[in-house]
Amino acid sequence: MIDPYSSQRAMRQMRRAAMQRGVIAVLDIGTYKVAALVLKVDPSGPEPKAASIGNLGGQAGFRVIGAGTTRSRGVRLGEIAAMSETETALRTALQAAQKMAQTRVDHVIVCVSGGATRSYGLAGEVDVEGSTVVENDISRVMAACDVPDFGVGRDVLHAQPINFALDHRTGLSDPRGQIGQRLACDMHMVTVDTSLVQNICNCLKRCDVELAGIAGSSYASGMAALVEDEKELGAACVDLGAGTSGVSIFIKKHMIFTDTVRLGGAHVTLDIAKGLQVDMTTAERIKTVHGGVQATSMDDREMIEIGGNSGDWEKDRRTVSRAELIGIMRPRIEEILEDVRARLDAAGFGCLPSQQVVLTGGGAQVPGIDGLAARIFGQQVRLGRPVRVRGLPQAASGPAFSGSVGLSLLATSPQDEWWDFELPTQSYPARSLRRAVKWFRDNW
Amino acid sequence: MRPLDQFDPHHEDGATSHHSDGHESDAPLSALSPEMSFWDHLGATRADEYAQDDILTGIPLPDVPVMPAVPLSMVDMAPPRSMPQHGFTRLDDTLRAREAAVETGHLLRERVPVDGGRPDALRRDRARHPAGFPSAQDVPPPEARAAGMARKNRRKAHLPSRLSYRIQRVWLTPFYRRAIKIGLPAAACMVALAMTLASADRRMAISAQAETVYAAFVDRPDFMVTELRLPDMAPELEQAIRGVITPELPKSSWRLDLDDLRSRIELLDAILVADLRLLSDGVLAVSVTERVPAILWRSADGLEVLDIEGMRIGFAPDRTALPDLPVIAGEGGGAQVPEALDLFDAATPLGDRMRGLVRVGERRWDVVLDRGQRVKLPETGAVAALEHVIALEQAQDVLARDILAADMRNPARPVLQISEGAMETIRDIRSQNTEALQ
Repeated sequence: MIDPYSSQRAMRQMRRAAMQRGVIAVLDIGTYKVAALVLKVDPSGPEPKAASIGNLGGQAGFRVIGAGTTRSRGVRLGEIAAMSETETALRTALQAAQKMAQTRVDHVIVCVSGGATRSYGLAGEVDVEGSTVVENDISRVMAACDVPDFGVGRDVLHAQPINFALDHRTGLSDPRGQIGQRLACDMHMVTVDTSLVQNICNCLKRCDVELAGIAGSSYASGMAALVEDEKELGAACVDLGAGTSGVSIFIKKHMIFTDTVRLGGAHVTLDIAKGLQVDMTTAERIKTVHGGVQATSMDDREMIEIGGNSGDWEKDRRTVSRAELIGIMRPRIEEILEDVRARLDAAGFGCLPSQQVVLTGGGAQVPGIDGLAARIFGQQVRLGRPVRVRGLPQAASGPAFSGSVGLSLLATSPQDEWWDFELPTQSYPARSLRRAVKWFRDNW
Repeated sequence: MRPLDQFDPHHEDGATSHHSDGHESDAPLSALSPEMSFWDHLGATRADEYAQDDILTGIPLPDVPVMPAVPLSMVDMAPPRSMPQHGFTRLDDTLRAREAAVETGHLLRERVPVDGGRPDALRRDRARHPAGFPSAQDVPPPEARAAGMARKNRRKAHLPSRLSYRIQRVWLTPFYRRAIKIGLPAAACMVALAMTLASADRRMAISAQAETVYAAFVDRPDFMVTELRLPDMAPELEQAIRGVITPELPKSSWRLDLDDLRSRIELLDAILVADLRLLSDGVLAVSVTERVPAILWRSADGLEVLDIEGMRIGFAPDRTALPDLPVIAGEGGGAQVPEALDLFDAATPLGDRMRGLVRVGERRWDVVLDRGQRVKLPETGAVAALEHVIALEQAQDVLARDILAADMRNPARPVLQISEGAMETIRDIRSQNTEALQ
């Protein structure tokens, strides 16, 4: 049997090597920024509880020793548009992080936000060979999952077993050692464009680092922004990025759905630039400094200097009221959230027992967006920030860094994937021998 | 919501200073709200990037647009000069700078086509001021220009080239880092040393130089040993010791090898132990223990004076010079002085009949008595054989009789050799006895 995930296994091998060396970097390649964190992995376990810090869950086994952030270059909608530019950006971020960490990093885990991630639910069922379920049975049931035809030019990004059922009992997380005849498995598979992964591989190769893993950014930010009970009871994480907005639904600590809306903060900026006749930089500044989604009567009186550097004095002295700005921003943000809502509805988010929606990502910093989101998603909406991680600089602890922090969690304590299990052993020779013995017994 | 006291001032500067009135308190309330600023989390890096998006620092040289003539009334609207210099205030500074330039005639008032048709005045101006600015004393904010250049440099530094990236990675590799920080200097030092010491001339020059420095310290008069102090002793001995030491003096005490001198003095025959000390004021004190004469040995070289161990002390002119010492003779006698002294002790009962000892065949002793008598002793057990003879003498006066030698070479069979006259006497007595019997 040919292993369809040999490259994923190779990356796991890389990750193991990095764990042994004790230093690994995570790289979040976004549309607006590239963030690199250098993690020092210490298997010594959680350090004693400090007064101000509560329990550290999965984020205790490592420490951030270097962080570097730079403006992203050559990335559009989360996909690499100009390779050399992107390489420069990655190099800049990596160099800054390495310099802060005073360590050389050879293994990098990246997360991708573009690439049109699609998620599939898979199911498989096999007979248990022995009396109890062993590891090989799990491998077989996962191999027995009917893989949909996800088309050429797509790669499997995640393939996670999310549920096991043994005979009539379902909801098992680990059926090994249990007695049963029929083992069934539900898997969640995420595919992504092969070209994007290959481009990222090439970029990293040109930066002299090895790719030790790859994860979807919506998955990573969900890992960081959702708290334990949300992950357990069911919640959706909406990662409002610059180029794309990722959606991921979690239940029972597993991601069961992910999707990407190819709209984000950059579109808001573009709207402002078009509406106010300013360049993108000025529009971005106006958006971040004065932006909002909820207009009040005060905002009519609050006049914003547009500024600009066109050289035309009249043009650069224009002012708009904040209400006008909100009038530009709100429809676009509404559109994004409506789109996200559509994706959630398509995924059947309404059927989950808990319908918590967590907004994170840089776009979640627009003031009043939680109110707007509550109108669209329902009342259970909150703004999420990434979990606390040891050594993370204050500047990199905002919602925009959910993806990076989640990726650090995944780097040190990854969830089970298809490729974490051995290939099912081909027991054909043994079986044929047994059949020969049986025939001998029956006939003599 | 973060409290307002944690508000990042850098961000505040960079974000609000574009207001032309320059009063930050006039910024809208939303600008002071930290939650909304996306770039807040990126910290100073982003603030700098924003601040440098500025028409003055960003424009390359050939494309510098010539500003339209600015009416003087607008200059009054420009912000005061004391306001903080940030990216978004730069336009006003530019306008004022242009205005000042127009007034001083540095810059042409009318628009000039960029493609080559520039008037010479502008070109001269460009040549002097690369960025198209009038001279420095006319430009109000020199510090702003400096800051702009610094930002430009920083922007360059922000984007590492692939080479600098690789170099940094190499530098962060512990092996290379150690090699470069420790190995390289050490290797350079070794190479320099080896190249210096490669030529023999330089080696000699270096050693000569070192010797000079050493001598400058060592050969100071304070360290010089000039005087030899000896106790009272025989003049010949004193002469000999002076003969050893005097050629060395005067010499620095650092260079004086006292052990060597001591061994050379102890090589003198008459000296058993020598003791050399350096005293203050450059005095070398030598004290010696002389060997005590114990025996005289008549050898082929003459009459040697030996001490108790058989070491030669000197020569005696004749026997009478040292009448108290016993005498031995014969080849190899000098090597057996302790045994000879034991024999002399044992022969005390013989009194002055004892003449001396003779070593025979380098293996055994003969005791020589007066009247030419000899006691021939064996190789081993010589003292016991002599005591045997002395016992016979004391009992029967053997040696007082007319015998030539008492031969004890075989202790089990002592033999007395009697003289010729005694033999005849015995024969006569025997013949008389037989005649009497007949």
